[in-house]
Amino acid sequence: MQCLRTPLSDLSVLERQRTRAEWQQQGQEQSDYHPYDADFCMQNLLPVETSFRALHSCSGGGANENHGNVHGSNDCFSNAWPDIVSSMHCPVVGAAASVEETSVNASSSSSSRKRKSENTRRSKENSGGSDGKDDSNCKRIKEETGGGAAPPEAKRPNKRKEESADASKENDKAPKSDYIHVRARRGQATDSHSLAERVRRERISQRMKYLQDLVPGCSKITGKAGMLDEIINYVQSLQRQVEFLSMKLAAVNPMMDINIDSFFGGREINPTCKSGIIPMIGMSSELLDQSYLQFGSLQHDMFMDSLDLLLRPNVNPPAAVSDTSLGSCLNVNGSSVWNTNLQNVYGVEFQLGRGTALPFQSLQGNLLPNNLKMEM
Amino acid sequence: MANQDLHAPFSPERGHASLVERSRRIKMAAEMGLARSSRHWSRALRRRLLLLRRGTASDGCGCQSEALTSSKEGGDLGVGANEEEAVEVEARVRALQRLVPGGEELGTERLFEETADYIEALQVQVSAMRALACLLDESREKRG
Repeated sequence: MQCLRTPLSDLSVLERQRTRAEWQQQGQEQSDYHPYDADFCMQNLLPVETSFRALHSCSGGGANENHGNVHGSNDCFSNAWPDIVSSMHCPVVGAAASVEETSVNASSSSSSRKRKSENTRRSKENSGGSDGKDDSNCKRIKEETGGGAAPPEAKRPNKRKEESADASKENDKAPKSDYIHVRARRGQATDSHSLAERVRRERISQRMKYLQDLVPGCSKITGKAGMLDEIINYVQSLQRQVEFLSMKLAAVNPMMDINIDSFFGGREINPTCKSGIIPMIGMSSELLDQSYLQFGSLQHDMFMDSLDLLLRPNVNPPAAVSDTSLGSCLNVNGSSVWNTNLQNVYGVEFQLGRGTALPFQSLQGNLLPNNLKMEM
Repeated sequence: MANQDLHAPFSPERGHASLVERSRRIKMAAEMGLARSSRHWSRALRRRLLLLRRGTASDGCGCQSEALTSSKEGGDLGVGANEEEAVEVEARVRALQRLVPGGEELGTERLFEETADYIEALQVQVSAMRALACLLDESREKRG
């Protein structure tokens, strides 16, 4: 069995993170312009589908940015859904705003005007790829504006940025007053409860779709129960893989061991860190220190410190890692430049001899070179 | 340099206990890596790991109060055609709640969000560990 052939989802993790970083940046830019982020409620209706458009459209763009964004996008892990939600990819929002414009006259006129201007501005900034599918959703969105979305939105004001908290407070009034006109679908109830229900169900199905894309092999399955089964199986299999790999790592090198205290003690928990890589680096550093490299103790400390530096978001990681082979890494012997060592370790882990500038892409199972097949 | 250990034949009896112990530590390190983000599941994992670390095994398995489970569910994953379907789906949602750390407290929608993020983090973790294992394998072969 080849360890490197396991298929991951088609959208690479890096691409997702990168787009999330972009969304977050976009969201922050635009929030500077318009403190009243009233659109998130409508964007909530279709965050996921637009996110896929954005992903597909962004995937072609500049692989060069990827490595630069590896750590810039670390904060995506902490802000995944708010990023998606606050992203302004949807010209649907523009369409909804136009609907509102015609229907709303009352005290909310100022807010709707703001919404509209926000929408039009954002829709201009949308990536072109997101236009296609969203038009088909426009009609759906037109019928469900922020009114129904308000009560569920109020549940998560603390996840939004501050400016959107205003929106949630404002929208809380929506079900009680009718200043947001909501058009119901034909033949369906129009009271706020069922609308809220419908919005909630829509959102749940969006999440399910996103999960469907995450989990390989799930797209053929229809029906909630089946998909949930697949998702559950996949999560279990991932957890088992972690266990198995930790066993394997312990077996591969009998001397590899981890000082657990070092993880709990000194390092602060940095919410923007890339999860999972740090202990790997920590482990590899211990390993290398003990058996292969002639690290002096001082250099080892510097090495560990450099790991901390690496974890800080404002530090640019060694983005352009030159091709370092495993041999050169292991042959480093009291090198004067500990930074190079760090790059070697970090780079080798992710490049694995490819010498590319896409550290994370090399993590994808099917992209790793053949000479690193793991015989099991 | 003590490289000879790498070539020593694997002694299952004596080595096994330490292997298990070390693998457990490695796994905990991996989980600590997972626990560093500020997502809900990550914080729950952090709490659990800290509890484990301090030796309190009582809540180690993450058996949070399941009484909160039903509060946000509402049982309305969808206007399913059948009652049975809805029940089935409910059962699976509960199973997923148990899998995702901190999932018991979450409503369905939030649960799915956290699941997606958790899956992605796990994927990265598995990739990293696999890459590291390959790295070590290759280095071992080279030296051997």
